[in-house]
Amino acid sequence: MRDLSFRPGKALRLSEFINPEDGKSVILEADQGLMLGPVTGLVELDETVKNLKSEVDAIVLSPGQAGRLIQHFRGRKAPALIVRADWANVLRDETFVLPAQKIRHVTVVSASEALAFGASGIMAFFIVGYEDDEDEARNMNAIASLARESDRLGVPLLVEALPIGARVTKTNYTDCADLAMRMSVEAGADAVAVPYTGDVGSFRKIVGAAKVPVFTLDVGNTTKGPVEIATDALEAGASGIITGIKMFQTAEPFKVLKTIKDIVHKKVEKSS
Amino acid sequence: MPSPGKTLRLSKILDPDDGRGVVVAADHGFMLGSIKGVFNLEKTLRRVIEGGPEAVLLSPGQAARLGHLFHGRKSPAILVRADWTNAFRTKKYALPTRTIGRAMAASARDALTLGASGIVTYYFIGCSDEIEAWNFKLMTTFARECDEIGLPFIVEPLPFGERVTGANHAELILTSVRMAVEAGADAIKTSYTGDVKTFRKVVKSAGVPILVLGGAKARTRRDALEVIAEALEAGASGVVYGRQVVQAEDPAEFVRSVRAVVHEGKSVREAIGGVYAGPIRWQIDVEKCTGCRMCEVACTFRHEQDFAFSKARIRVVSSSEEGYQPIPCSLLLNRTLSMINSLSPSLTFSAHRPVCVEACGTGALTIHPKMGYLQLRIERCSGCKKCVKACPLQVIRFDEERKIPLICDMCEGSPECVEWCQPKALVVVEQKSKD
Repeated sequence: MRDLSFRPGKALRLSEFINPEDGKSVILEADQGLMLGPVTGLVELDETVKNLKSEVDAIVLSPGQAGRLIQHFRGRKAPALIVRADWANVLRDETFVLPAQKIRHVTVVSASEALAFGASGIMAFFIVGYEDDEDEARNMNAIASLARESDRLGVPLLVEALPIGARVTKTNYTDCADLAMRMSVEAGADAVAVPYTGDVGSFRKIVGAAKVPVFTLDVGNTTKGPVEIATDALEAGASGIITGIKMFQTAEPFKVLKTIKDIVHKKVEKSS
Repeated sequence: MPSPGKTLRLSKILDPDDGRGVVVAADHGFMLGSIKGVFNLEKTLRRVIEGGPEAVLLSPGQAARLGHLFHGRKSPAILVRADWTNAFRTKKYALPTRTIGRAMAASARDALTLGASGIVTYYFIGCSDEIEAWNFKLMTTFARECDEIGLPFIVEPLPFGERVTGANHAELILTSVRMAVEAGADAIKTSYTGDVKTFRKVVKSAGVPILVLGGAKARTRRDALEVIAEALEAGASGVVYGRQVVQAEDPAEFVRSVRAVVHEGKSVREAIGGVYAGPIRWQIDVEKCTGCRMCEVACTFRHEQDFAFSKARIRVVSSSEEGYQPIPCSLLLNRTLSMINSLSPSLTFSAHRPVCVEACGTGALTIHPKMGYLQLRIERCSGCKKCVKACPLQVIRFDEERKIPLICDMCEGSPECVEWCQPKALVVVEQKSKD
């Protein structure tokens, strides 16, 4: 954990989505409409947020939806709001109507704008594996400036460190993830989200090197589902999971999310 | 569309379930120094937070220093006092005010950076025109900044200065509240006007949530909780408590009883612990009390065949500023016991006793088993004064000659004090039949 004692606002907002009692968190990623249009589970976003908000510590929304759905975040029982600060076409694979031909990344919201929405944090990509090295530099420039601004304003920056592209293989995946994670931390991320590397040992290495809270994504170098990934990652010392698309693709998303919540916040052990 | 940031942050101050909130002000040190209750602010705040207020008002310095106490979504929100004044340093303080000074202590952006859910600033009305204009300018500067960044702006309009009188006070509140709303306040912190009718007018004309100052002096002396109950009836959204909480013996307990009135709609009696089901129930109308003390006289004549105020079993509190109020024995219950009682309703009448009876170690002071009023068995009384000290209303006096407490037996059901009260300030509203 970064020493945030001289940034009381940042520490306070971080505690709004990482439960201070157990240091753990379940975050729902519901911002994919910004990059992919209406995907499964997020078509009726209003309904999704309403139904799932009781199970999570925070929900990631695009800036447009954050303004539109703010009512769901009112009060002390509501989850925290995290605003997606950037856009990228990385998630557009061959099955998408317009597959990405070249990976691009742009910032869409500043930290101060996210704060005006009432956000407790901002989330942005840092992608490694670009074909063009210039693009990696541009992406670094974008998250570094978000990091500097978020330091000034006391908004936690959550970086999604993503190894992607032809240069990333099954064998170098963990090293690529480690590189993306570590560069994000050095740039100033207050927490990082990393795709699951495939096994507890390799993920533990990443968590150990980070020194900031590490979340696993519900995807990665694995065929495992979100529940298994959450179990493994927690064992590896992760602070929780950021789940979205994969969870919505399961037969009973609500049940899956509930199970994940119990695993992350350790309700499972108590009942057994 | 209203600002999402303001909507979200205001919902931490006013619970969206009932639209109400309890705020504790703990920024006294900023204006007055290390006064009682804020001397060790961290210790006090831990107790305050335990009571579960919606928000706590802090100076910018303490918000930075003690922000860690407010971690987690369940914790109270932080409100930052964004301005400073010397105006409250009366003659009691080391350096009394000579001319009123104001300063901006933090910008709205600074407060947001600290993690605040809102800022609070004063708006003084009733001083010189020049000072008022300057105050207004400061208020609008904050308002515009808060609009930009999505931070709720709470204004505390304060009739203050040489042009404020008892007669124009309520109207100045009405006027200044509305002016603050027009300037851009999202909520108002103000003192109670003194009665439901005028306060309802303030609430209606404001159109934004109003938080009433629970500790402020009303025109007549009332229990602080009764002021809240009235203000809520008039449409207030909540309450701001300062010294009464931070200087309370148990701040957590105090906040809980305020919460009971504000959020759970409990009556004042329920919130402070309830009353023993005695033979009669009083109703006191402070507006009618003239302070004639006939109730005291009637009481002593009935019990002592003498006219001696020092032996009355009822007392009238008075002050030239705040009016008069008779305080009769109300058989107040111990709070904890009455809470247990409310959980299991089968345990009524004899299951627990008023605080004076609880305090009596010799069994001299008891409740009449059938009628429910106090009775004293003189032969058992040791003259220890435990009941005198225990009475929260200080209505049990001690007879130094006979070495016994003078307790109210409600004249066995037909109290003389009520009989002799000409203005009908003290009446009996409920009476148990004698069989």
